[in-house]
Amino acid sequence: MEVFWNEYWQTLFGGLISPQKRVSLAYLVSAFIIAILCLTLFSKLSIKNALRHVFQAKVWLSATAFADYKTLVINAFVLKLISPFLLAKMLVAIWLFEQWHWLMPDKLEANIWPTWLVVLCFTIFQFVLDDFCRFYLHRLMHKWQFLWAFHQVHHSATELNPFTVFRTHPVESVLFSLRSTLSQGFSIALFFYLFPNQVDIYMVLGVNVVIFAFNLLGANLRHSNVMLCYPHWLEKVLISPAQHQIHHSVAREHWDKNFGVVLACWDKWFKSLHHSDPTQTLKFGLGSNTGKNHNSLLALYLLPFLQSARFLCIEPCQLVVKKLKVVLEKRRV
Amino acid sequence: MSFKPFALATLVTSIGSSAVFAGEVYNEFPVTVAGYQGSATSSVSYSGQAARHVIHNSLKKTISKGQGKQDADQAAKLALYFEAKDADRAILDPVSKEGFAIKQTTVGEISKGKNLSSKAYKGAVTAWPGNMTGQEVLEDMIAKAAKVKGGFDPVNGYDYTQLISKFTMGAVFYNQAVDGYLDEKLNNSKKTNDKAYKEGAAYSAKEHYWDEAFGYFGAPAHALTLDAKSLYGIAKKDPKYFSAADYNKDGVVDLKTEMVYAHAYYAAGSDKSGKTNYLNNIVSAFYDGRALIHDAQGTKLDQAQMAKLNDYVNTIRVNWQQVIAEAAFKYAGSVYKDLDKLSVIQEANGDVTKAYRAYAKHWGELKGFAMALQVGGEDLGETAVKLNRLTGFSPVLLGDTQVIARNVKGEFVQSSSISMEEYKLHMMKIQLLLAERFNLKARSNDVLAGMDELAAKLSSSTSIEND
Repeated sequence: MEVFWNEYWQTLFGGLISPQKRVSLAYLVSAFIIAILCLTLFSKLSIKNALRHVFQAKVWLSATAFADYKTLVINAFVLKLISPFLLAKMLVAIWLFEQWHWLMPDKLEANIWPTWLVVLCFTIFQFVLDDFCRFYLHRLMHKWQFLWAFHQVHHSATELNPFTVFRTHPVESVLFSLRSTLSQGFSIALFFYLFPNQVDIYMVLGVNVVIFAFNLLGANLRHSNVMLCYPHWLEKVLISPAQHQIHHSVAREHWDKNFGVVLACWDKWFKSLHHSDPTQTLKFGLGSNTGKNHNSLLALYLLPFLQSARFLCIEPCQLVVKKLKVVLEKRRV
Repeated sequence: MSFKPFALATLVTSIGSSAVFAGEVYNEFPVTVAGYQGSATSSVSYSGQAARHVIHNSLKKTISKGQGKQDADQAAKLALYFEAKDADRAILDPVSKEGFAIKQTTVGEISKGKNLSSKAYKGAVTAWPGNMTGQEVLEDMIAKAAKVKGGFDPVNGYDYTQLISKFTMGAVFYNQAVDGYLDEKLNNSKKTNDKAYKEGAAYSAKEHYWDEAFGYFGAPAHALTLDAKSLYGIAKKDPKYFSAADYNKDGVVDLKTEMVYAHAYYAAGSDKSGKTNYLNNIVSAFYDGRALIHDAQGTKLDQAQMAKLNDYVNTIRVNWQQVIAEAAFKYAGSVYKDLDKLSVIQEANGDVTKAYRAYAKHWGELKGFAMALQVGGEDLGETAVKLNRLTGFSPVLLGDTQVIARNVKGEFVQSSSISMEEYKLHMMKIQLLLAERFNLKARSNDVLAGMDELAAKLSSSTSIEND
């Protein structure tokens, strides 16, 4: 039990110092510096007003912000409980490694590529695959009503701050875990099969070098009230913080846009890319017509189950009835 | 003996033993048996085990030098190093070489009347076709080895030099030590510590059983003064490590006490990686256990002392088992790589002779150690079944066939089997099985080397963060 609680506290507060976590102090500080620079240079605010904007009470101390903090504390506990039952990435990697023997029996001769090239390829491949999987799962969570029931918890935040990243339903966390397990297991197995004894990853402070750069260069501004826009040519390559804020916007034209995390190409190819506009003012959340308190524990944890059940059971039944009616109608005609 | 002189003798012995303990050299424990009249200053005796080690090494050498059917005497030569007990048998290995002088040249100079066959495991061996005992398996292998050149049977993919050597290490040394001396014999309540093992002996039964088990492990008496690299170098007779071997500085390596054999060599090989400490764990446990018996000063060991002694036995048993499992793990990795090479050569229509020979050699080492693991007195249950199924009765041969049985004439029967590609996966599964079951750390030749480290390097899959 002591081990459990030690690990729990580690999960809860370890993120503040771990470079693997987006909300580590170093990344928060870098995001803060970028925010101040952005507000003073582009929005022409004085430093005092820029600070006032960043530290607005409604962003950090409102009911929606406290809901973010609550989910952080509760989810760390829930994840700790269920993590032993989640699929292990080594299990996937070993199973896939085995499958590669059948799928690709005539593999390359050992050590044909220099090690630095193998490491570089693995670093890039792993990042690109992981980024695509994040994009695609995110897209599915918006497109499938059953999954949207859980993902809307994240979108119910009406103010964004870096801790909104923790405002996630545990079911969604399980899906994230499965996604990472599969993508990482796949890349490990493939590279270990093709380049035994050569595979490694370029890292900075224990993080994939690309993810480190992404986090250091203001990833925390994605969930913030600081609208950092990139030039449009760059927004076709990388998702800017402002583009992610558009993703959280209640405006109809912003729905189902900008699912990407780092790379924008996925959104471009799936026709969901939406460029930012520095003059635009965004309103976040699920829209004003819902009239519900989205910050209660009931709304954050239990309602998604009821809604997903509705989508999973009631609506399919209605669909079947509707189809039957159409068939019967056709026969009658 | 009156009380005072006896107490004085005990005191002198204790002071002497303290000096010995400081050096942690195994063969210098003084005599504690009450009433001993002889001239021996040490109560340690395991020359019979040292003799069996050189017999084993010589047997291995003889098999590898065999000329096959042209050599009618080969069976007799092999019998000399398996069943015979002649004192004048020449030691074929280890022998003196430039920069590494060996003291003894015949087995009798170490110990007389010793052989391997009488000490081989008498229980059933299911890992080899024919429903035979360990002793019968070795006899059958030796008989077949006598008929093939260099101990290599290309038809069935058997390298008898490796098979016989590795299985002997299990069926004789490991079994005798772990399943015999450190088990039933040590715990035999009739064999107490307060009397001589036999008339005129300088040691009690407990002392002797403990020493014999130590002897079978194959470490030199001064092993705790050496590092893994030196011990490995001594086993290889590397002149660079001659001075490390020659503990008493008499200019020659004494095969009784200064040489590294069999399991100690493999333990040192694993420890060289820096990931394990098997040899030190085992020899320290042997040393501490021996010190415990010595400290009883020729009195019966009480329940607490026996419990402590059995704790040391457990350390020895677990670590020794890991040493063998590490070796099997390493050779499963070698076989995997050999299959890769064979596949590339076959693809290019090249000559597979050399690669096939290496494959059979490594398979023989894998199989020998896999069989050795199963004769330590512990029922490995499902692990043994899986290990035997995955390894098979022979390597998968070039036509995707494998030995499946032994007929009434004692010949091996082959049948079509899995492909070499699938067999490669068996090697990976063997490694996973061994690593998990025996908690292996060195994992030499790991097919999945670094995979778990890399997986750990990547961000945790279980994250509470959204995108």
